[in-house]
Amino acid sequence: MDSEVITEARPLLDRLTDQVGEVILGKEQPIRLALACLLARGHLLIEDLPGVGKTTLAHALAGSLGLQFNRIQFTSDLLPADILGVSIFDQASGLFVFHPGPVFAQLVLADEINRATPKTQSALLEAMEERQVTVEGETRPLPEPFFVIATQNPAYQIGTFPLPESQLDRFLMRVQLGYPDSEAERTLLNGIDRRRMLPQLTPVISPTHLARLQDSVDKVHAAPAILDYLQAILDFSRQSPDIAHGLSPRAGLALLHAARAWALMAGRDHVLPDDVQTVLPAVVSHRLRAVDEGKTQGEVLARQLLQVPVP
Amino acid sequence: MYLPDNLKRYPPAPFLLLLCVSLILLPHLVRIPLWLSFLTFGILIWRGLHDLGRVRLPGRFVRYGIILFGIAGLLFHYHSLIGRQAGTSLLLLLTAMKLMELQSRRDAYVMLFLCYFVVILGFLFSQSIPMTVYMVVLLLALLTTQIFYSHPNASEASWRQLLPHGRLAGRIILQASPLALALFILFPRVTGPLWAMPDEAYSSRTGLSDKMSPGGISRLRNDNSVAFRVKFAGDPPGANQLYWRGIILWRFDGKTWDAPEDHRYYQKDSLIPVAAGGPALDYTVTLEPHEQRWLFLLDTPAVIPENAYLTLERQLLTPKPVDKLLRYRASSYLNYRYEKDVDWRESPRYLALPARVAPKTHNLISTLRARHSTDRELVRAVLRYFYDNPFYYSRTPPLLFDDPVDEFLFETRSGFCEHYASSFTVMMRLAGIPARVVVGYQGGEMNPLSDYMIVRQSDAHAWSEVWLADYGWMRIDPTSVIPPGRIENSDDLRRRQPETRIARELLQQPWILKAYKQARFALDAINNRWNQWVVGFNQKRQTELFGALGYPDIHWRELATLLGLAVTVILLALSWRLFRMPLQKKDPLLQAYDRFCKRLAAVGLEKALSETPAQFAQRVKKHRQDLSHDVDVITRLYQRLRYGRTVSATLMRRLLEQVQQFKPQRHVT
Repeated sequence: MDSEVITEARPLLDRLTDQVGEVILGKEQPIRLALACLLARGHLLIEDLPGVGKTTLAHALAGSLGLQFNRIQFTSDLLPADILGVSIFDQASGLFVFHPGPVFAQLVLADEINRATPKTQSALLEAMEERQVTVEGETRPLPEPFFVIATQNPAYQIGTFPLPESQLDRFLMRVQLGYPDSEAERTLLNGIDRRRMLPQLTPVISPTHLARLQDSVDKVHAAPAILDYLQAILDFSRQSPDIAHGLSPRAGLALLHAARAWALMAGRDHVLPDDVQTVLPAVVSHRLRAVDEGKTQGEVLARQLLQVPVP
Repeated sequence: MYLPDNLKRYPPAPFLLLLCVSLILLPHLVRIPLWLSFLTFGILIWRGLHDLGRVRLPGRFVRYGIILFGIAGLLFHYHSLIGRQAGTSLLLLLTAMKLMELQSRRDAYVMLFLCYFVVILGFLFSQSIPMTVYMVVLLLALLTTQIFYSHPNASEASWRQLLPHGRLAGRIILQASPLALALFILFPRVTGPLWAMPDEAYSSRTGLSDKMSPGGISRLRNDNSVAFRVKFAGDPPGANQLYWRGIILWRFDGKTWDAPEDHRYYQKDSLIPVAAGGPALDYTVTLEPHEQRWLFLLDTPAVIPENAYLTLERQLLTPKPVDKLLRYRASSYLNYRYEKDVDWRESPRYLALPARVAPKTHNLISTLRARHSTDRELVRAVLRYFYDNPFYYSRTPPLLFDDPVDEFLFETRSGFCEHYASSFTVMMRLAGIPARVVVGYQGGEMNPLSDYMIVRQSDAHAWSEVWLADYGWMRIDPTSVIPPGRIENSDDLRRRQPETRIARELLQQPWILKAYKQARFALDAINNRWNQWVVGFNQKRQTELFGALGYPDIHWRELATLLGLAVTVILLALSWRLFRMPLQKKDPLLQAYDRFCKRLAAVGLEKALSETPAQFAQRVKKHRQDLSHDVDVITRLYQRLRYGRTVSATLMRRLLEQVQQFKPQRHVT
């Protein structure tokens, strides 16, 4: 890999993190994870309570990356066509003209995705997976890069359709923002409304540059020892008596990609076990289901996986 | 590794096998018949060409033909397929021929195990240190070959694996050595026919035995090893006076001379009744251990050395077999005449012969007796007979079968001292003259570098003593009447003293001379130990060893128990190691990092299994700021090497160095 890309990646991504961090205070780790997710061409699920800044984070990312941004507020009466777009008869030309839906943007914020019906949810998730939309027999590619940030209220809230595991698997990562610490909270209370800062954000990076960075993620070296480690983790998840279903091969690939992206962000051309460990909770916790459902959260299970010996 | 192109094309496993067989054959080449050497080498070359894909292996009939031809040749050469020489030759022939039918891996295994056995043959001829080293090297080569063959895809083996495989073989030998040692020391030695080496094999080591059967051994050993060294008080006597008297053999059963122990003939007092014709010659003998009781003195002893007995036959014996270097002072009369003792004509001891022995010789003696009335004349006449008739001195005489005396005197007429002494003594007895065989050494050469004489096993000699009524016992050496022109293989004699001649030319400077002498003495001492403790480790030695350890009179049952115990312990220890060892060999990088972790664990900082190197380093640094630089460097190097893209030998070396130097102290000062 070009050492150039590596050397320039780190300061750039640091600046990006800093800029987003000015908007979302005291949340450096989730911001970095979100960036890693973007670099690894994955989609991000932010699961948290309302009002902790999920939407602001998505806005800030879009603004700093200079990405074309659309937001879809999911409600229980939202239909797939509301997301993908519809063809409407144009009387002037006498033809059906496709009106692209909000999904045709580089960064899509799917707000409160678990409020919509499963039918609508799956319309978005298929678009996420295939990176193209087929409407009325015509396949239309989605823009490049295509990055979905979905937010979700915790499932126990009333009036939600929790995403099934098969759908959750399509998100590379799930991050939680959580409450800010007291210092950040104070700054937040003292300062101006964060939303007002959003329009002033200037892009740190161009979309082409971003695409180049995404390309170089694939070239980050994962040594045999790292693959051993990943396999040990997968094996562990499949054999643990606490875990209902072990991690899928897709989860393994997700872990590898995320770790590579994390390594790139650290300015390294090779993956360290530390990278794997850092991204591990975000990558696997939403894919794991405990045998005694309800008692043990995915996070706890993910913590078990961190106990796997490092080869 | 650099190898010639041809060799590179040669698959390593068959090549190594061929090499092993050649190495096994090598030490035997001088001993087996020349045609067999050529035959085996031809077979090896044939096999080599076959391995290179040049020729086909012979068909079944050709193979059988070669085997039959070889066996016939051996029968013709040795008249037998049994015995050390013939047996070895046969085994070597069969081993080489096995190469002609090697097809599958299974055949190769059979061949290898055959080779392990055939390697031992070398020990039948030499048990010296160099030979042992050679055998160990051979063993190493065989094991390496076997490792090559046991590799799942032996056909794809490459020469690059030679070193690792060789190393593995070496390790296997090392691991087996404690077991071998325990077996060697503890295995109960039983004296008896089961454990005795054949006489023939024995004679190759010691020059003399207490039996003599002329014609039984067809080849006199050119054994250059030292029998004893002599330092004379004055000038050394002339060569024709150097008769070193050893054993008296008086009983003859038609084939073999021996001397059963007869306590009646032990002398009670230390006086030797001798009429001396001059002053006694003083000298000191340093006798190499020969595991027998007799001593060697110049004919005839004047004073009995300390701690020795004298028999009435003027044979000197020690109370115990000589098992270590023995030094004794002695003195002898070179010109002497025994005082008359008993009239031996009245006793059957020196006259007895088995019935119907040597009828032709009997006739000859009768005719000679008719012509010569006195004993003295008869002796002269018999010696004359040896001189006048075409008797030859040969170190490789033909074998004698039914009646050695008649066959030698009338048919083969070729032999060495044993043949002459034996025949002569029998002839004397047939004539009614008391006679006996004396076995000892004749000659000796002064060491030009020093002032002592070396008497070698190759100087072993046998002669006769006859009792004349008017003289007493008289020494007669019938071999000495054979004129030099009738001595075959005289170059044998010239070869006897190789090192002294070379030394004389090479070692002009005194310091080299000194060093050489010291080295030789050191070598002599090592050889002595080897002979005593390894080659000659018999039941007696074993008992002695355990006696010294505080277990006198150890029984073989206790030994067997100890052996079982030792073997169990060693095997357990080895298997414990085996089970503890990870299945795959750790690469040096992991080993180095392990060592680093172990050293930190020793100061109380143990790496958790799930900790990444970076996390561990972080934790260590938190506790031990003094180590932070080293830990950082090592962790960074390790991460680069283990997870990085490129493999760098330089970084590896640096890591190894760093870990080598990393020695954390327990307490921070």
